[in-house]
Amino acid sequence: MGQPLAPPPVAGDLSDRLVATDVWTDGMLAEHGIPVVDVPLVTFGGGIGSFVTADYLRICGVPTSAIRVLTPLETPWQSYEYLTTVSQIPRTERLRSDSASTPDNIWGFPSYALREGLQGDLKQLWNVLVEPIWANYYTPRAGAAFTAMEKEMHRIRYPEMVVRGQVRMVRRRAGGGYFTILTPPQGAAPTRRIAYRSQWVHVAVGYPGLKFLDDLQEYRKQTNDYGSVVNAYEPHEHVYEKLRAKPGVVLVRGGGIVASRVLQRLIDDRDRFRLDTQIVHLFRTYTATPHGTGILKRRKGADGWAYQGFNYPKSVWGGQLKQQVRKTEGAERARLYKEMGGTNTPVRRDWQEQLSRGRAQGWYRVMIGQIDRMTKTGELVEVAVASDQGPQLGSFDAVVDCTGLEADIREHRVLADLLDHSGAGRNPVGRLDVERTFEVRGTRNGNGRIYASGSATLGGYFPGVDTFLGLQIAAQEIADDLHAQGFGSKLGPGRSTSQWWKWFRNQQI
Amino acid sequence: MPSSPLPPIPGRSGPPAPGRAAPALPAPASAGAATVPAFDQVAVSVVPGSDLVVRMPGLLLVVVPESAPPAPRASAGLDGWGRSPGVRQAGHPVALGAPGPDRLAELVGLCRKVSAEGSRAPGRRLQETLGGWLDGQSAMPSLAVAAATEDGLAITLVGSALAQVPELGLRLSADEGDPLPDGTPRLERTVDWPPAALRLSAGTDPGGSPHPLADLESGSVPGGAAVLSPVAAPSSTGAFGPSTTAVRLPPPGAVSGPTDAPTPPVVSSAPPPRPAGPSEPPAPLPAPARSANLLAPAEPLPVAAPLPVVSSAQPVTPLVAEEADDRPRVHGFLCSRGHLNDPRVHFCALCGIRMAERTGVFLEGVRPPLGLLVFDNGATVNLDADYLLGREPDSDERVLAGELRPLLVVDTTGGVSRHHLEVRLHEWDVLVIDAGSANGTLVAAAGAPGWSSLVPGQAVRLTPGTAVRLGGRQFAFQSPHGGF
Repeated sequence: MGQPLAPPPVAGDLSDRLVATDVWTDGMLAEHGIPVVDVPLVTFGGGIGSFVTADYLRICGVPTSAIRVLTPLETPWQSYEYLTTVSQIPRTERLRSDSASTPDNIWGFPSYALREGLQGDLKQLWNVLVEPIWANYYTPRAGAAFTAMEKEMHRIRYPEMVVRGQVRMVRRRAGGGYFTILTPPQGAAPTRRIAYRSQWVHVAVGYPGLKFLDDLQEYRKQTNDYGSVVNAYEPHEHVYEKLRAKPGVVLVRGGGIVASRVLQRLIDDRDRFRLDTQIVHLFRTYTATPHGTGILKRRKGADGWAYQGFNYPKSVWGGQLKQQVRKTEGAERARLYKEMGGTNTPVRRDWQEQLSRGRAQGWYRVMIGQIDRMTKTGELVEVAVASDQGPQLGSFDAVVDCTGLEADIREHRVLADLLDHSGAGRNPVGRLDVERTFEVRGTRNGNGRIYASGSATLGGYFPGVDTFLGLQIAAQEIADDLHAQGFGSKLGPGRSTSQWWKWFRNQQI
Repeated sequence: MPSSPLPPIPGRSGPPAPGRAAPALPAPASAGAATVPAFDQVAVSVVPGSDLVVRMPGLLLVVVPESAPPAPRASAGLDGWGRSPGVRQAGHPVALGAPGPDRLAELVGLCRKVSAEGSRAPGRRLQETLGGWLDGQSAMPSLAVAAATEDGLAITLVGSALAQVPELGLRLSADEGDPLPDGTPRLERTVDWPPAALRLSAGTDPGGSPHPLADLESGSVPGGAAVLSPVAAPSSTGAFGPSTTAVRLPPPGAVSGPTDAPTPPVVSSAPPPRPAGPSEPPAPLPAPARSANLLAPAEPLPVAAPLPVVSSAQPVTPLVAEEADDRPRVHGFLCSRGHLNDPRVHFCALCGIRMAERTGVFLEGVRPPLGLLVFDNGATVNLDADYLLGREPDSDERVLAGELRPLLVVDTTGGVSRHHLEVRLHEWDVLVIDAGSANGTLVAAAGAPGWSSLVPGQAVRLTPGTAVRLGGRQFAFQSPHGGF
């Protein structure tokens, strides 16, 4: 069942010599016995980034045979749904996304709110009319986004383009184009690797991964206790289950939307089951007042939270910030990103009501500081906090860490390989450097180009890349650039209208 | 108190022997087990002497060391040293089973094993294990063992060993029991805890009384006799505070230490009643255990050398270091930071990195805990071993053999059987098997419309969120490894 640690060279596998070579020839792959598949465009990652790009190209008339999606995922939203579900946004809850950010529909019309309105929920229509002054921003339910994407997936015959497997690397090909090395699932192919030879490659690998904070990992290694100290991005239903059976004290760390959702879940449970849950909320940075660098760049803040409707100011998707960032370079761009970044959470009335009730009744309390260490004492976790009031020590039934540290792009080995062997570089924010067309700078090879979209490209000329709308804007830029090279038809007014009607009638293309 | 508090407990006084002499001690008027001091809290003082006194959690052993020193090896080839004293004996192998340091080590190892497995009352199990071991020995040196049971002491005496309560004039010797196969006297008996000091000796008791402050907490020391005091040691002399002996679980593996902090094994008491009315504003929390004021002038700390800079990069494959421990091992995939994971998950359970960052390196490593059982009273059990749940799980032979870990489930409705349900870890799965319970076991997966009952003996895999009901109690299975 087990296999030796250093397997002998298998036919159709990479060798050290091949891995060390930057540019490959067709002959090298033939020598290694790696089969080669020709296809004009390869997109890998296979999440919503790949899906939205494939969707755009299919609408531009590219046949399914010209695109291959290399992915380990079952569905494009699998990874996204996993993360939203464990961070307390199941299908029935609302995402933090705009009404018109519709990954299943490149036109953004009809928007989610309109769809809900057409199904009879007129309140949502009224909401989008008066937001954000008279109402909080409308946001779609997670389930609505997933079911709509599922419908679109079948409409564009997405499954025909999918090849299951794990992408190991992309290398330039002598003479132009690229080889994308795929590791198919064990037993699915006669060789260990398959090479896809393509003129264009689209990289949409998403978040390189989370990184749980070191203190959490340390606690787990030392105590073997995976149950009391959890990250909000992993399944932690047992925390709520335990509190339902026995009153307890919870420490919640973080000031982002996930912290908001975890607090909502704790307080919802508290109200519904009449529990006596005590919550201590630990902020590293406490925001007491509105803040910002200029009168037009103010962000609301109170009670520790920084408030913002979406994860970026709205003008990054189509307003002045989009224009401003598009023209900046280097340190100036990094400064702009820093200004609009920072952890924040939307203002939502139900959250405000719950927390103010908690403050008034004394079961929700706030601390400012950082965790020094955590130790297990019996069933409880003893947490030492370096707070602004000096060192504090408290015992908790559970610690929910709502800080999501993102790993460096180098932790993703395909991105690391691009940096090391294919000429890709880093942008001012440290992620993958892309042009305005989302071509990865420095990787052009003959007539071939590599594009990238999604979180890995944050810090480029367009902010907000790791959002639904950001992925669609990237897909649009990529499709336009491909069209300029003769791939796909132009999406002019005529095609756009006819394609929209096909979408509306759910006609397969 | 009765004047003779060392009676055999009926039915528990070792294997019944036909025609065996009546107990030397008359039965007491009342049971003396009302207030039994925890064995590990009482003081043990050692009387000087040449035998060996060994104390470990739950038991006390006095043994005569080997009678003959080991023969020196023949020193052929060492010129100038003269004739080796061992040469005389060369060619005469030591008789099989003769006393020697190896056998003594084996005996102590046996005791240590039972002590480690037997929670705070290893007495009965020790008597069984030791009895079996002694039957296979010949020419056994004298030894005396006293070990805690739930309500008294289990005493084993071999050879010329004695157990006495001098203040009450009580005395037990090995001659009163069944001899070993080779004729060496041996006594196995379960007795009430005497209300006065118990004196154990193996060979010749040197007499005299120990130093009043002498106290052996644990370890092996030379001594002629050991005196077990009848009351808990005062905290000033005994480091065995009540907390150290509250509940002892067998450690999950050979490697012990803070990482193996055991889960309390008793899921006792019915679930607490829910508050009837809407929750009141709660009482303020107790103040933090320690706090300091930043405003107060701080005492200057001594200047220390700067700590080494630790980079955030984490070493890959720490598995090599864990080779030594014997916890269960499974096959799985390593994440790019070197943590072993279930092949089916997409994110590492320890650090959160995507599993896609590394080509599946399928290898064997120590299995992390597979999840938690969350009981209806809020108790949680970390799933790092196989468990037997029930009203009296301790009495199951697989529990006694150390194969399953006991988990006592207290149910006031009486619906939980003595051996009710097994929870077994298989590879990366958690299985439940009804152990032939009287009232059956019900399971409901997350989102299932209703309960379904387990077929006895048939394993069912638990998925995260599955609820399991036995008698009037219920628990849910939750896993950090994701739902699949």
